[in-house]
Amino acid sequence: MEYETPDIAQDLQMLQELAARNRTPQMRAILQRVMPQHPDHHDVLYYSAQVDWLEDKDEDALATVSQLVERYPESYWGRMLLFRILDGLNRRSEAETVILEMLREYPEDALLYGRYSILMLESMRIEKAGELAARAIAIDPDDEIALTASILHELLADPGEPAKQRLAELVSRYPDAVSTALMVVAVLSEQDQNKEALHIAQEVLRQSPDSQGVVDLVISLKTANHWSMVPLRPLQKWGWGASIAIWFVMIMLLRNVEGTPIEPYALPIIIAFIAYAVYSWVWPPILKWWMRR
Amino acid sequence: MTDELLRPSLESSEPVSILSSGALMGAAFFGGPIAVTIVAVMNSVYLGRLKKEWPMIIGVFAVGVAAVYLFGNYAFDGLADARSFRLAARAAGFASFGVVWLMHRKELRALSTLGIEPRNPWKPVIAACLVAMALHAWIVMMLTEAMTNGV
Repeated sequence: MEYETPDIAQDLQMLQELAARNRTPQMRAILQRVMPQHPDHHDVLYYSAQVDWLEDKDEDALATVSQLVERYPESYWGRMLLFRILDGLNRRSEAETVILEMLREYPEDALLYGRYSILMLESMRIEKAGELAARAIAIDPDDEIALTASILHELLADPGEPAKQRLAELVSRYPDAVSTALMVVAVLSEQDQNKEALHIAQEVLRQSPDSQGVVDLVISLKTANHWSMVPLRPLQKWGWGASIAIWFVMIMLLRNVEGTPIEPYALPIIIAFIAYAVYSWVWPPILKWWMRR
Repeated sequence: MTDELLRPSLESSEPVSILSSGALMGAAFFGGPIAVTIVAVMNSVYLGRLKKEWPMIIGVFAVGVAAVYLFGNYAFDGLADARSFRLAARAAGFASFGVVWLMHRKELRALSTLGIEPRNPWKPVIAACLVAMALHAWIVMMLTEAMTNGV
């Protein structure tokens, strides 16, 4: 480890605190000063890669972290960041190679099993993700990432009350964790509680203002909460079941309308039904595009 | 168990994804249980689970066929009438959709919960629906001929 002067030690401390709060402009200001003096310092390279990653500049982040890992091949956090960046770039088999190498060195690390589990979930290997999450929890039941992986797997299998209860406990234990908050947003949105989901997503956006993914999420939720989407609430709430039910009711109604008082209104009913269907397909993407502007 | 868990699962960096529940619903609406079965086969192939899931997919198809028969003969005007057959196929498509959704519900939920981009649905779903519509037309023609010939 390089000898750290009080100045660099103070700068590194500041970078760590700024990274925890996603304050990337301030991180860049410090790195601009520190990088020329310590171009090969492990932590300087790490934060330099991390600031690009936090701003979704994944290719730049990958170049820097690759340099870090080449210079310090045993760096735990360097390889962890490399894993996260490769995952973000959808280079998942390479990310898997990194995490498997780390697991061979640290076979009792709950964080690594948790991260691998989440990678498997993203890669649609749901069964393996569940086994990895169970292993992570067995090693350390209090690890935040192990808990996140376990609860995510449970929510996919059955988003009932037990999973939501575990999610609520995770949120109360780790209230500042962005990944936890985003999970809560996803669950609330699935339950058609879009107003509450939007409130939490906006809090996350305040913490991560430069994350395009979070910006997109807030726009989607603002779209769902817009007043012009009120007629589509049944479809939002009950999903495909509502669509099928509406179709079936319309078909049976129109087939049996002959000789009844509503027969003269059959054509306007059909037109209204088709207009509603077209509105449900066409309006949400237009509204989302307009919100993005 | 630990050795198995530490074996690589991702052969290439090609992102793994499936057709969404929206694509499945589109297949059900326009192509009935035949199109839903085709989409279910595609998703099983994408997940690398066709060898394990083919019996269930055959079950989906069987449920779909039974539903066409039941809807056609008890809710609509019989299967020899083209319009009635189309409605019955659509209703049966929705029933098959429900079964396939249950089969792949974790993966379909993962698309929305984890923000995974689903596969582009246009080509596969249109192809599945065209195959289904061609088969529907042939079935209706065969049934009409059979009724005309008094079979």
